[in-house]
Amino acid sequence: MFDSTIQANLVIASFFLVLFAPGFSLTLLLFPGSEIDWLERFTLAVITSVALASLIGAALLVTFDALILSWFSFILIGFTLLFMCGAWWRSRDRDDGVTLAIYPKRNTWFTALVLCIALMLITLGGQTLSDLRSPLQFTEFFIEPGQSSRAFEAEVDVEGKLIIPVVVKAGLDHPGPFQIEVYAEQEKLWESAVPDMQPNESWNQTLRIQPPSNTRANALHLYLTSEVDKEPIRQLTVWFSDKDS
Amino acid sequence: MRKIPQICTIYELMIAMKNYLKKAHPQVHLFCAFSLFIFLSIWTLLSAVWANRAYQDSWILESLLIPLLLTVLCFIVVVYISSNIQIVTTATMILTFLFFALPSLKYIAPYGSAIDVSAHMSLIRHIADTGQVDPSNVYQYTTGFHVLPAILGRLSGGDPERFVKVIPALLGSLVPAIYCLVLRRIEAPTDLNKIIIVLSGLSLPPLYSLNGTTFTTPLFVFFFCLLLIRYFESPWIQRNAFALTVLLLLVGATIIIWHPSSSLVLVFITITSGLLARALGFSNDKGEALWRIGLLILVGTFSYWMFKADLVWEHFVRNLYLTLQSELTPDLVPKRLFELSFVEQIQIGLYTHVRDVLFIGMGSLGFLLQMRASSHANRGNRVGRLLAILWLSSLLMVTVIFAAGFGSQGYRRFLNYIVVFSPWLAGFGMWSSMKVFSAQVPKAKTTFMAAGSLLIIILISGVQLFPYQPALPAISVTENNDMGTPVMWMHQVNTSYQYQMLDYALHQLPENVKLTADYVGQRQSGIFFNRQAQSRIQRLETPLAGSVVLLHWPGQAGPYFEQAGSRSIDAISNWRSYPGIMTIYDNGGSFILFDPIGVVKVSRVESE
Repeated sequence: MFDSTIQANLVIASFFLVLFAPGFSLTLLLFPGSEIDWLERFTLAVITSVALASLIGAALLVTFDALILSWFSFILIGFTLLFMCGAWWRSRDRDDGVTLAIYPKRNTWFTALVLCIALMLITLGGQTLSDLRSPLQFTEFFIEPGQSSRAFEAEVDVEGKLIIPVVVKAGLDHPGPFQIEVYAEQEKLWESAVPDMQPNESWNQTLRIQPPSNTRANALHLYLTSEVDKEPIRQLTVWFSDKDS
Repeated sequence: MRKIPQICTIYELMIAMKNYLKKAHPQVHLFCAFSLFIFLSIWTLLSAVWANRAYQDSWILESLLIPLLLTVLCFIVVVYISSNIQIVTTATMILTFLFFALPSLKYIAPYGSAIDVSAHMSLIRHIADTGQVDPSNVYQYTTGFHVLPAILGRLSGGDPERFVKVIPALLGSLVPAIYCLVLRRIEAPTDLNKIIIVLSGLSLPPLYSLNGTTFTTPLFVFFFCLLLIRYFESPWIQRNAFALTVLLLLVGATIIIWHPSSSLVLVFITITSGLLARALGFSNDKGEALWRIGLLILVGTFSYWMFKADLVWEHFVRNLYLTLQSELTPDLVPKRLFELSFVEQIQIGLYTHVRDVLFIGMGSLGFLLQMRASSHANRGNRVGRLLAILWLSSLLMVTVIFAAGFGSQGYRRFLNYIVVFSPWLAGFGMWSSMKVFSAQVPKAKTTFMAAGSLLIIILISGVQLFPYQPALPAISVTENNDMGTPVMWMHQVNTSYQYQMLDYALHQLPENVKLTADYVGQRQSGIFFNRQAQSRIQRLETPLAGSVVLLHWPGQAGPYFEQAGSRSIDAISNWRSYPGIMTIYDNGGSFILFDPIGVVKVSRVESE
């Protein structure tokens, strides 16, 4: 009974934190007075919350290759508080203030109060603070020298094989063992086991792969797969020029 | 002497209530009707939750029809009693949420076993489980939507599936409210506002089936509503121009990271509208603004694709190549449809597109009326002209798709966009017709007819949104198969039969066996489990000796998408009784066959 109550509270708190609070504070900043009514404010709050949460989540995934929950929560709450401070600043001299029928002129603080309760509930659930991790602890998989890019234009040797120098750097999160698989569209061209490594240890190898002649995309996909759960955890794309051209 | 209270009968109570309501203030009527509407909506929602099932029944609305119909009737009463646009909008939001949440809530697994459901579900689950994207998933760089249920699931410690079922319906239910925001600023007549708001909720694609086009459509509508409101000038707009621009850019950026095709469509419509506005001689600066916004989204989209989302870019280049090589492009409409009789073709066409045809037809009427009235330069007409241009651009896009015969992306997603733009013009056309009509007949009759026509539109929309599977044509009525096998499955439930069978195949059978399955089974392995499970199962397009074949009976165990003849109950019965074929698992709905000689053959799906 207690567990299900906590679970329901967490669901409500998560909805509030992700799908309402950030957008609501943004609407308070953009429309600090009675420019829009409660229905319009609610609608814009949900839409902008969805947009902000998606953009922050996708930015974390694209930048760090990981959706770190604590980072996401703190960035979202940070934006919410920032917008609320801005809203307070903009509405401080206005007569109409920020209006909400139940709590006229006080709803900025009302939002802050509910946000704090939501944060407490989430912390109580032990979900947020349990995975405070640094992105540097994740395993890295890259091609020398193009470390910053996922896409790589491969050179071709005298035999017409692609030269792909790959590096795997083990992190704390996935200490291995790994496997590297190379695909052209759905066809597996090559695979190799990566030995078990200590954290921060690196493994280098230069792959020489014959590009298939029948592929339409002129691209190879390299997957770093965990041997434990057989799940691909990283991907690199290698482009190559058409042999005829 | 003490008075004995009289006990009244139910009839007397009803008469007393009727007399009270007759004399009561109209606000009391509205309050009663709205309260009843809320009560019926909750009843319908609870009916769906209570009817929770893990098998495919005959129809989405089975056991939900009566409460939903009563809710719709009550909704019509609320709309016609109320002159308060906020109440109409709130009621429409609730009805829209009901329409799109019911199928998700009624079935245990997420609804829909085809198209993109598998890719989206497996990516959401992967993000929720590992905090990382699945590098083999085609949507790995457009994770905007997938992040939401994954993060909600992780924050609340629950299953992300429950959020997947609700979020698209929640976003769809906001569409009437954003229409309301624009309509109130345009200062259009109340009756027109009411019609447009009601139609806006009905114009959305089936949000209960998870695919990129459907869940991005509400954002698409928000973008164009904000664009519309920026188009015309009023003191309110001037005061809030910065805020509206910020919202517009925020929604535009979100569309780019939510779905690749939708961002391209956004670019096409804004740029074409800008060009059309210029060609038709409308206000130059506004045409320029559309053109510039289109270019901004174009640059944003391609920058993101080329510098970060390289897999999306690769797919874009491949699709472009397919378009140019017409012999490689899949058919727009499945060829097997033309093997049916004309009446059956019409029947299937109606179930698939009756609402679309109605909305586009009414939109065309509104478009003609709008063009006729465009000589007047008042505020409403300026917005109307822009609407007409946007509608024309989306129509042009569908025309281009059909003219090029471009089937790799299907045509339905493009049709969706023209339907979601239609409520403005369709509402205008309906309102203008009613105005002409009201001059000739008494007011009471006009009100009754307007309510009736709105009810008919809702029912017609229901035919497309909740197609009645038993009414679809069937083939091969034999002794084994006395009901026949439907030629097309529009009811797509992911069932427990399939889950148990796939679970057995993936976790109990040795890893080195060759697993093959039909289209539905292969996709469902991604929906129920993950991408890795899906890649272990091969699609059975040609018979494969020594393979283990995962199949199911059509019906309660789920739908199928192959040609009706090759996957009829008769065909399956023949394989099962074929000498040499062994059944190694059977749960009554789904089963696993071992085919040592290569007999079992499931025809290829012509169009997904």
